[in-house]
Amino acid sequence: MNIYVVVKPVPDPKTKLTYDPEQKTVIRAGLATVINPPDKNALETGLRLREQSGGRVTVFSLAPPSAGESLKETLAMGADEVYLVSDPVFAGSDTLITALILARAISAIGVPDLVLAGDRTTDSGTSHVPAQLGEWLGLPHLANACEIVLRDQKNLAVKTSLDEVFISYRVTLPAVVSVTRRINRPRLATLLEMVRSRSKPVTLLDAAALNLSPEQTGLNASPTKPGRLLPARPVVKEGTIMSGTVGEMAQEILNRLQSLGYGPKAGGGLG
Amino acid sequence: MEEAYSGIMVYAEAAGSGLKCSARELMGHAGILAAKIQELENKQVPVSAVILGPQNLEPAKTLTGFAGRVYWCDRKELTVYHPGLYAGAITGLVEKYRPEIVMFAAGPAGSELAATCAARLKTGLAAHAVELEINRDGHLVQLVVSYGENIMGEILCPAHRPQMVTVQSGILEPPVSGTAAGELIREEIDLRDDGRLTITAIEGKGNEACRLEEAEVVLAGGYGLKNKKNWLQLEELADLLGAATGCTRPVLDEHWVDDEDLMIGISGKTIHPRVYLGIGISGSSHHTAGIQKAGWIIAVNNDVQARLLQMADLRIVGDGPAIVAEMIKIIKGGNTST
Ligand SMILES: Cc1cc2nc3c(=O)[nH]c(=O)nc-3n(C[C@H](O)[C@H](O)[C@H](O)COP(=O)(O)OP(=O)(O)OC[C@H]3O[C@@H](n4cnc5c(N)ncnc54)[C@H](O)[C@@H]3O)c2cc1C
Ligand SMILES: Nc1ncnc2c1ncn2[C@@H]1O[C@H](COP(=O)(O)O)[C@@H](O)[C@H]1O
Repeated sequence: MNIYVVVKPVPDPKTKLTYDPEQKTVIRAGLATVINPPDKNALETGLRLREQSGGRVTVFSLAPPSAGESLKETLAMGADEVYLVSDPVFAGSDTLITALILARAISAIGVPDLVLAGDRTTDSGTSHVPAQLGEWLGLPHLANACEIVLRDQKNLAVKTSLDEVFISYRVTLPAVVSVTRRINRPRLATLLEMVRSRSKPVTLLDAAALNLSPEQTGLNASPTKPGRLLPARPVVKEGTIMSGTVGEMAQEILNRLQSLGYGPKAGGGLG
Repeated sequence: MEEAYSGIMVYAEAAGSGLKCSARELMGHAGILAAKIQELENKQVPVSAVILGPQNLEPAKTLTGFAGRVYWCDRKELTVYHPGLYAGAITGLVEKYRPEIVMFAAGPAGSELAATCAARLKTGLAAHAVELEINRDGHLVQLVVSYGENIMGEILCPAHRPQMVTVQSGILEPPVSGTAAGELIREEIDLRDDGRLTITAIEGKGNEACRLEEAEVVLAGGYGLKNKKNWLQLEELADLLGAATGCTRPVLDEHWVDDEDLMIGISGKTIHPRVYLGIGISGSSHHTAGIQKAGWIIAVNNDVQARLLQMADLRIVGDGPAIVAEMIKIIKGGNTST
């Protein structure tokens, strides 16, 4: 089975951010990045399918060149190959154009049996890219998968998790499926694998390689445009501040709950 | 180009014989926006709703209270959510009626549908808007919570129509009943099914999944709990209090718990408990967008500056894990007769 996984390097939650006042977006160049967590679940799904049915797992990522290093973790986890889709003209692309560029990259290398994605990124978090990627590729797509089983060479059984229900589908391959973190526990790359992956190549695909002109990508081509950035102000309440010994504070909370009608009861239930 | 598009279309999700709360809330938003455009441009701005699936009339009828027109499609193939067919139906209606704004609720299905429709219509889509405005040009301004330290970002879609948006629920009090006397239109949509995607099973998540949304008391824990052991203590306390547990994203990232249905906020659940008790939570806008409707807020944090403390009715400045352990001790000590 030929499997592609689309993976996004996202800012390392431990680093501070700076903003580009022109583009009104986070400055990504030089930022320490990690792999978007659910994308590792997508990769893990791909690796397990490969173990089961053979084939290859290839990673695609649209990111600045500096993200190349963090992508090596996907090689250490077991991916066969990584394509870094990168060009300065891609900067500022919204989800529709990001999906378009990824679709072009995928088509350039050859449409696989299955494209896997994470359900959402920790930085932009739209959940739009996988569905839009499916649309650009003209493939059926499903989101929020929490179980994927290969039925036969042409069909996948996919269980998806919505608000109140699970819905299962049978989808004919090739298809695009995004997975939630519930689907599996991604393997950890060993130190040795991390070291080995450092010498493995990451192949660059730029706008020219994908036959994309500058007018087709980036902020200019994107239907959505960022406007102003504004500080989010919390609704400040006239709250009571309280500090004291641990015992006093714990009691204060319990008293407050009690006064609101929610005291602990025998058996642990509330009134 | 813009002239050809007018009005606001809402995709309303049904729930049994009624409407989802988020659907009524969207109708509320649409009404407010329509009034603003109307005032600005001195033109009629019709509000319409789309409802797909239900075989019974009730949900569609309810919608006529909020919308000038309700497009109802009861085709058998739409009884259960099918991303391709649903997107086909909505895209078809958008092309037929050409609204300038199309709104969806920002749930898992709403996000997927909106993204699919936007790609088919080659237009712009903003995700998880927490505020909607109309600017002087009559364009929709969508406010979303940006990445980073409590920053909101405006998103516009100046040159493409329709302007599409998924809206975070729990921002507006949903109107209980509407006074419009809308027209109910049964739509015969041409559904082209290429057969590549078929539904094989549906399974309810049971009460557990809705527990957080329906709970009167929610005990939420954040990164300030420091480790899994302390998280488990929080779960024990929630049990003793009969409260539902909720969490922030770092709690999932750290794998203290793996159930994504416990996350509260923009990418998780919107809750409306009478009491929300947040322990070791900084109060980032991504999280607090999900607790706008909480009645009483109690926060425990060892940093006086924490944003969640500012939002709280009772602000406890102290060590979260120790206070959780102490509360358990007090309850157990006072309740030996169980
Ligand atoms: C697009 C996007 C979507 C997101 N969606 C969500 C979402 O839906 N839900 C969500 O929760 N997050 C979401 N996030 C993440 C969000 O931005 C924050 O990072 C997250 O909410 C922070 O969680 P926290 O408060 O637990 O952790 P932190 O921000 O690290 O805060 C920990 C708090 O604990 C306090 N603390 C430390 N030690 C103690 C102690 N001993 N006792 C008491 N207090 C202590 C600290 O003072 C601090 O205030 C999203 C982010 C993005 C970019
Ligand atoms: N720049 C990107 N490069 C590769 N994959 C991406 C990119 N952006 C998003 N994705 C994929 O799409 C999923 C959802 O992203 P998003 O729509 O940003 O929430 C992610 O989990 C990734 O699998």
